[in-house]
Amino acid sequence: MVELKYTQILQENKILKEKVSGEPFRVAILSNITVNTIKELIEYDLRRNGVNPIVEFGNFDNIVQDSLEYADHNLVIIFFDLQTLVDNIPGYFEGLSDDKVDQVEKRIMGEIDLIFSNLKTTATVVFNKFTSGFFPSGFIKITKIESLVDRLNRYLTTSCPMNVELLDLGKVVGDIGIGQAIDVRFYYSSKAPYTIPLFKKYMEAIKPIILRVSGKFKKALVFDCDNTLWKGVIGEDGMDKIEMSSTSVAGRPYFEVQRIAKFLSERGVMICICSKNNADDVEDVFLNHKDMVLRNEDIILKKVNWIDKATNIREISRELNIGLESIIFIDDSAMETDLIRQQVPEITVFQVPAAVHEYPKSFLNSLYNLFDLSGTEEDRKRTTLYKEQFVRQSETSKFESIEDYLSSLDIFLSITLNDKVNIGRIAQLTQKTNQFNLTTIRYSEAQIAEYMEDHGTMIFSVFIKDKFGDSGITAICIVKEDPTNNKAVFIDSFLMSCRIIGRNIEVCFLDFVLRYLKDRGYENVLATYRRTQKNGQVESFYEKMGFKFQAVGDDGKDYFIILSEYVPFEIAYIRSEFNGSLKIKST
Amino acid sequence: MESIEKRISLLMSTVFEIPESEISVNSSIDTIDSWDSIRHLNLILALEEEFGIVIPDEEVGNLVNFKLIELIITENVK
Repeated sequence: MVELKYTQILQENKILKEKVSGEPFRVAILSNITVNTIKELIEYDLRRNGVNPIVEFGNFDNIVQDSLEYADHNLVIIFFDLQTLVDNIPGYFEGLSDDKVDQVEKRIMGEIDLIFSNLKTTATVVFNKFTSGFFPSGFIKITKIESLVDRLNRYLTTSCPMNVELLDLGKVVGDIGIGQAIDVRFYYSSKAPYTIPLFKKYMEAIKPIILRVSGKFKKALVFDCDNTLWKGVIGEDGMDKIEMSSTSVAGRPYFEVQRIAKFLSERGVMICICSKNNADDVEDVFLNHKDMVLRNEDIILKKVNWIDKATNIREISRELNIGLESIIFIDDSAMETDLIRQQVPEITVFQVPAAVHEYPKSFLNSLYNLFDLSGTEEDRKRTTLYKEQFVRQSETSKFESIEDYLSSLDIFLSITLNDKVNIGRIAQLTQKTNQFNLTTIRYSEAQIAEYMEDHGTMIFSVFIKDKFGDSGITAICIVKEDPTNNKAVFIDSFLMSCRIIGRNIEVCFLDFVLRYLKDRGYENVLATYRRTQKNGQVESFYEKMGFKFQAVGDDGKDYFIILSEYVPFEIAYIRSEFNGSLKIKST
Repeated sequence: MESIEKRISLLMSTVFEIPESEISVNSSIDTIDSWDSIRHLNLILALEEEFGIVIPDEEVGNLVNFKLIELIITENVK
């Protein structure tokens, strides 16, 4: 999940404020330290869940009295910190006699009793457990303050009424480290010890409560496949190269995530698949890969196609009849997660971390709390029930704003003719690319190098970058002159890495090649589609580009286009440049 | 990347909840009504996060107008 900066949260919160209305949900924060920075974070989280909050703060260090005052609020959060209390005690705490410590303890326990009793009618109370995070740690011998914290927390656990949730603040602090969580500067100046990272982590910790009070637990997990459920790309690497085995280093994180997903599925969470792949390839993995933990019976719904994921997820929401806001989407691609964030902002998006070994932990930390796992036997059957019940609606709803999204990507193509520096990469692409590959002819480095010297052959390569960074050289077009007609050429190879499918880059690229050939005085271009098991998605590519059939057979199609009749495609949101030719060809 | 000046004015506009057009190099704690002690704390935290810096203790209280903020940010962002 992309972490927003504090100012971004303020901005988003302001936008949401205009959108979210309804019966106000009243939150009171009572504290003996300054925690006002958390106000907008809480508002933001509630508004994101469709709840319209009013967040108020009690008076500074006035928790007991205010607990009576604010008891009518829907949610009361209490930051009862020992620091302020200890500061008010004359003398150094560790030097206090046991009697004195005992007095302090009794006093706090009395206050806890009063607070709980004052708030007994409040719907939900969050009381942060005590922490000794501020104080020096006693590594060998427990300090007086640490032992006080222990006793107070035990007291909290035993005396806590049904409507009170105890939140382990010490764990929240520990998770990001005391150094990150506490900033003494602002404790001295404003009695505000906690940092923005601490508050953000706190919001993660309190999330289940926020979801419960707003009735917004998540219901479905939508997984991408390649590099999300397994290591590798099924369409490129094949069954024997993808990995999700518990015993392989590369596969282990994926195994663990699948195991968690399976557990969630047993607890009633709906697991779906949304992947840009050939449906048969993915089906094969679910049916036949020996290392898969998730199997078809765990999956409610699969959307394996080449349609954009925003459309697919909207369909999933409709077919399962659940709100978009109850869906979590998981993908390894920044482009896909960003698309969903922009197009379907209601959805919670999780991106597989670049450091894959962190994937299972990060997945658990970010998502586990979002589900209601108090599941019963009945819930465990829900997956089966849903599968039987829901009727697939066939209509597809597209939305125009995909174009808007693509234009926000700042896609930039840098096209080079006969790029001798990258012969290795070009040959590799011809060898590895299976899905978006019109003829699937493999070339060695030596052959590519030879072509570059040959006046009858042109190799175009495309370097692609967008706002997420460089994709490198990811598309190739090899054009050969017709030996019998010097006004004609044929496209020997046209291929593109599957990483960049779905952005009309192929259209822009071929458009460039055709216009280039026209400028060079060529009149006619021949092209071929050769069918393989993997390249079904491109069988109509040349038709789409305005080519006409010359011959159609079982194993493929032959085409031609008269360049004087070619109507260029204008893809306004892709910019491109041409690096000229490293080998000037005269015509 | 936008200029430091632009980023500061955007951030101040967000923290103080006023339109960016009302922020200028002459803005200060005297010209912005919503600039109270709580917002001041939030401003410092937000500046530190935005620019990835730690503002020295002794400066925290001094950052009461746009020019001083810009100065300290420029000095600390390397």
